[in-house]
Amino acid sequence: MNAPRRSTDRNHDPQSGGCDDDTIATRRYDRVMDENPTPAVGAIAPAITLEDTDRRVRGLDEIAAAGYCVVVFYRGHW
Amino acid sequence: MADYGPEYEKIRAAGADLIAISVDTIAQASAMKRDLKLPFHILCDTDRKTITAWGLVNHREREIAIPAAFIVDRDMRLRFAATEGSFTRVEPAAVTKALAELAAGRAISAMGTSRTVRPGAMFLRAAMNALARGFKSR
Repeated sequence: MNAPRRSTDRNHDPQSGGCDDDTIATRRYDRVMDENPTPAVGAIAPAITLEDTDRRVRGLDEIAAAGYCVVVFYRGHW
Repeated sequence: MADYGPEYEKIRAAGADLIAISVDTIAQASAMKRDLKLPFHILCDTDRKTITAWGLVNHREREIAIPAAFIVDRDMRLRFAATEGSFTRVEPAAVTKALAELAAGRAISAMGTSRTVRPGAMFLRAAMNALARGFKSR
């Protein structure tokens, strides 16, 4: 009789919390293992400054400055 | 990573470069680069600082990297992002296809504003090839 009504319940909005306004594509699979958010399309990439196999320090900003840079993370030898 | 070797030429032809990152030591990464004859830069994130910043730490397996691929433009803005589960890989063809789409987008806008941004048949051919391959492999 006095059942509470929730007129503005948006908890079930499947669109919320996403970042689907990207220009090309964002693919999500079953990644659940890192609590830190992965940067989304449209965001500024976190800086990368690491040594390469010749022990030369490489910066993503300097490589990307020449054009697009594909950044691939792989599992590696383990 | 082996699949990115043959793709690298196309990536370069599209005016882009590629870096590959794992938590491997320089010795391990060097061995892989040599054995697989990989032509691109392989970077070593042994202290996990980079994969932490990118939210790609696999806590289930010795804090190795979660496989993922991104495309960053010259302003450091992300234009493509694909992450996968711990035992699957991002298809290199999907990355090349996205790059081709970006390249094609840029070519169109360059025509519209009559600016010449990396024009040339090689550029367009690389984009077309990547698109064709992408469709075939799906």
